[in-house]
Amino acid sequence: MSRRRRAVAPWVPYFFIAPFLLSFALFTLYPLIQSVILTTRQSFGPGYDHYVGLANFSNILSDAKFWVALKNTLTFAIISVGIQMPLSLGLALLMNQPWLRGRSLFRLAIFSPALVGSVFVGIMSAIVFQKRTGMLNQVLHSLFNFDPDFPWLSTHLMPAMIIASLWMWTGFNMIYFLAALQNVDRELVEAASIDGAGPVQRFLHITLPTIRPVAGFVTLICMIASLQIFELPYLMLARLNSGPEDRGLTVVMYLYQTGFNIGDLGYASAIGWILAILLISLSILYRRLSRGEAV
Amino acid sequence: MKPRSKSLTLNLAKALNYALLLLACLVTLTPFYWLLVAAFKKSEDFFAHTFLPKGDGFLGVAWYKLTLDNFSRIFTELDFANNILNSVFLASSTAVISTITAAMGGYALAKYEFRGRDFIMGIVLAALIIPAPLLLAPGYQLLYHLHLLDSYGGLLLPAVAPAFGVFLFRQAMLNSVPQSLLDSARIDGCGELHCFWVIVLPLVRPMVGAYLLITFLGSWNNFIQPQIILQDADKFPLSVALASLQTAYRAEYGMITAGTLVSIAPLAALFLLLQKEFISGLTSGAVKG
Amino acid sequence: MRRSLLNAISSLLSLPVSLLALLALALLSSVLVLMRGGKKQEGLLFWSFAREHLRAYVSQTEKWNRAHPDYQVTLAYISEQALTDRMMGSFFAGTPSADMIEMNQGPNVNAWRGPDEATGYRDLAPLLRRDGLLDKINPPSISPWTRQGRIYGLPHDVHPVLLCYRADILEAAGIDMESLDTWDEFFDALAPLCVDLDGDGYRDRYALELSETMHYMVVMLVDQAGGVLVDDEDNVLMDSPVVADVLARLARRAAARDKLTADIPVFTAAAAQPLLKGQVLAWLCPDWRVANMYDTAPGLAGKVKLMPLPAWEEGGRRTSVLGGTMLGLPKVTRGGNETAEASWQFAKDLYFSKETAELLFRESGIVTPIRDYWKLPVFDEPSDYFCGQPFGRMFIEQAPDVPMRSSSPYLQQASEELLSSFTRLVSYANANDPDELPALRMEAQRLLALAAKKVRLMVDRSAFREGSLR
Repeated sequence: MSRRRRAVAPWVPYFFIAPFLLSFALFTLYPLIQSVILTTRQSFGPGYDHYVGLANFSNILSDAKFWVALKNTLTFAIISVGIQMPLSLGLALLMNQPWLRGRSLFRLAIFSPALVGSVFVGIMSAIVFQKRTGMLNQVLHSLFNFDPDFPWLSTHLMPAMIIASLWMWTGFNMIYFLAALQNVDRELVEAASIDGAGPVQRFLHITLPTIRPVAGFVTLICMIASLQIFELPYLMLARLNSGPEDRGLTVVMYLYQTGFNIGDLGYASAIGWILAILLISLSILYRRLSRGEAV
Repeated sequence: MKPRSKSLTLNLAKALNYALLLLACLVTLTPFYWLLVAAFKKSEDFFAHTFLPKGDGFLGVAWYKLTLDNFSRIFTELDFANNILNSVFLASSTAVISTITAAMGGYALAKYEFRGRDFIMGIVLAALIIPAPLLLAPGYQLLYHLHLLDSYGGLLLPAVAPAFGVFLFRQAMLNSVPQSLLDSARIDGCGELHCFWVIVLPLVRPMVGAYLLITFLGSWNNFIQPQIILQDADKFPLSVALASLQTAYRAEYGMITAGTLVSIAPLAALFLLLQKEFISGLTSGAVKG
Repeated sequence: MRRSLLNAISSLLSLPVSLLALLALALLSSVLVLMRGGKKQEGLLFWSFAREHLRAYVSQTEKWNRAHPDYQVTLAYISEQALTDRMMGSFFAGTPSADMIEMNQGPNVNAWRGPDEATGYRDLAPLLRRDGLLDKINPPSISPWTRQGRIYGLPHDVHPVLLCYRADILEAAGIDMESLDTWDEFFDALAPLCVDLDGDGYRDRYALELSETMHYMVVMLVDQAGGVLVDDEDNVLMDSPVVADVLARLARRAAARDKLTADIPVFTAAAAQPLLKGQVLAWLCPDWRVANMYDTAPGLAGKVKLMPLPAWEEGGRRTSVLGGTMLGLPKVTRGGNETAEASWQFAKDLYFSKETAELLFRESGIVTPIRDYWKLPVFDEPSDYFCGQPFGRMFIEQAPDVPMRSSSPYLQQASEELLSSFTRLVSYANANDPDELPALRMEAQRLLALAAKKVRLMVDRSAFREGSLR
């Protein structure tokens, strides 16, 4: 019997990759090119448009609403990720104790909010954060005599958004850190502990270097996701507006409002490109910083 | 004396550890408890009590004030059964279609030598960093020209073979599909497609499970696309149907909370059943990426 | 043949179970979705965002349907947000939605933000003139729907505003509400009652409900004073001294030091709680809020009364306007021209009938914009809820004074900017002496100038406005 290797027909790999290529060409590449063209137009829905040249970009530069949206988005992303990362890591460390009992129950409880998408969290938050009648103020008032009329949904939208996002994502990121902690060399930790290294030293010199690549990656992913936040503030404000002084307005929310409430797909595309440039430079910056590290 | 105090501090540390974890659980679970209770409250009690209505019943709770009305109303006054069907349909079809096509793409990139492979891999990597909001407006315009607005096609077609999935499956194929196995299968006369179904997919089973779950979850929680694309209420998934209950003048809080509970319950069930796949799926991007 | 089938089955079985399970689920749900099929909508479809409106239309629709078997009308309730999204979606996509759409004021006016040929609604002005109906309508009611001579909808209401107050609490405190002619008198008289009732260090009682999250109330009070935010030609006029004065005087009362206004989510069940608990002593009450109060605050029956709004100046206007509904006829419909005339007939019969005027008032307290019907006896019936007051008559007495409103699509942005200016002004008042009115006015003027500049930029940006077409 001759064991001769059968040649693979040349079309086979193309057949397997075809769905990706077709859908990429039609639903990513074409719209991507179209989005460049759209930035030079002002439209009223997809059916009516005017050529406006670079007016969309120059209008954005003088558009106070856009700058507020960008400021809000950056503030939200930096503060929310800044609190989330140490909190998630801290929880992961608490969960990683070898003697811990009921680990899977704890994990289930702490992770569970991540299942609920920002749509549903936004809808819930619109009720939970109400003053006087909202659950949060009522609980805080009875526990700490907190101001029952604290205006989460008007002047303090940003802290409310951050609290909601922490509730949603801290447990989710904890899972990443927990996975990364599995790579920490236990024997090394024990050896260090015998040598008299305290918990802080062990954390700084053994644990942290091991999980650094994952921590960097998780931070990047969270930043990218936070900079695209939309559903949470949009639904928290019951879709009515962007809060007083546009305090709840985010970049994607502004993109949505201009593109789909007002119908100006051109302006929306221009906003989209500014956001894209921001996000892509963030990714590039991350690659520069993490070059040489195995991720 | 000394070891004893050491074990005391150790026990204290353990207790603190547990206390902090319990606190975290309390914070994460309280909103769920509130939601659960709120869904069963009558509208006049909705804001009158933070959690269960107080009264002289068992445990000091006025149990008789709880009602199933909110649930019966979302199924009678609203078309929630229909919305659930739509969500199940959209999420499961998206998950199946995109898992199969992404696995195919990943397989081609991992296990075949062909002209243009590196170029396509470059496309996959580049596509990973294109933010979705950028494509909202032109994508909407494209669907308008293709007459796919207000149709499920407009939601399902763009979900075919996402770059992220192709990338994940390529990594999985590289790690867990041995070339020798494929070679010997070919020698035994196994067709390429058959090979893919019978040998390759089962080998990347963990990735398949994980990816199915994350796409299912993502589609279930998707709001912006169906919100923009669909106009006919008969086609609305839960997310859009529920969000449309938020209204300026008369928010129906009972129906909103009952609806939220119904919307997240299937995910909770799925999670309880498939906790491992979920967690490995959600972390696969980070750990392997 | 059999072998290949067996092969197919066995190869399916080797697939991951999760994939198979979801595959089965996907197939099953697709079958169900397909079986459900597209429900073919027959006849004319009528959308409204308000259930209580539809309740008033049922009997007349049945009558119409008996007389017009070829043009059966179906009434459908659609929540307000969904209606906005679906209406705009269908206008943008050029696909049919409903034959008649009853829509609320607010973001919906974006429908005529583009060029006229892209506006989804038919211009009803020629039809109204043809059928001689224009003069029957109270002019302020039709102004929000009239854009550059075109009328995009039939007006549904007048929505005059009165002040509703907790008569039980205020009369017990010896305050003669009827004697309070101006807002300053009102606030000064009620201030002593606004205290911390339970001793937890936080004030539990406020004189007036005034949302700081939604612009309605502030805009309404500016309207009352005669302030104009944006006119029909999209001129932004919000930085006028009248508007600045209203904001300054409100900010003084909303400042934290001696806060007399309560920021609560207006009109919702949540908002009913502070009213029921006496945390708010008075609130602005347009006619449609009556039904809302019956629904969400039945406990207030016999405890509340209505009175004309206190004026901004002695002898000034004692009412304002809040909200508003129109019935529009979309250009694109499933039936095309054939059903267009039938839709108009139905809409006209419905909106101009005496029966609607009566039923609408009974169902929701809403006063008709058709002036001939204002003398109907139904409006004179005393109401137990309002301590025996004939509230219909009280609203109608104010109806001719209701301020005219602009139809500008930029009114929405201007209103939001107005609210932002107000919020900033309150922060300024918190940081400074809130009783220094001249300083507050100057700051208000400055903030409004900035806000107006923002809205003007937005107006100027539009390439579709007449005159700016390239």
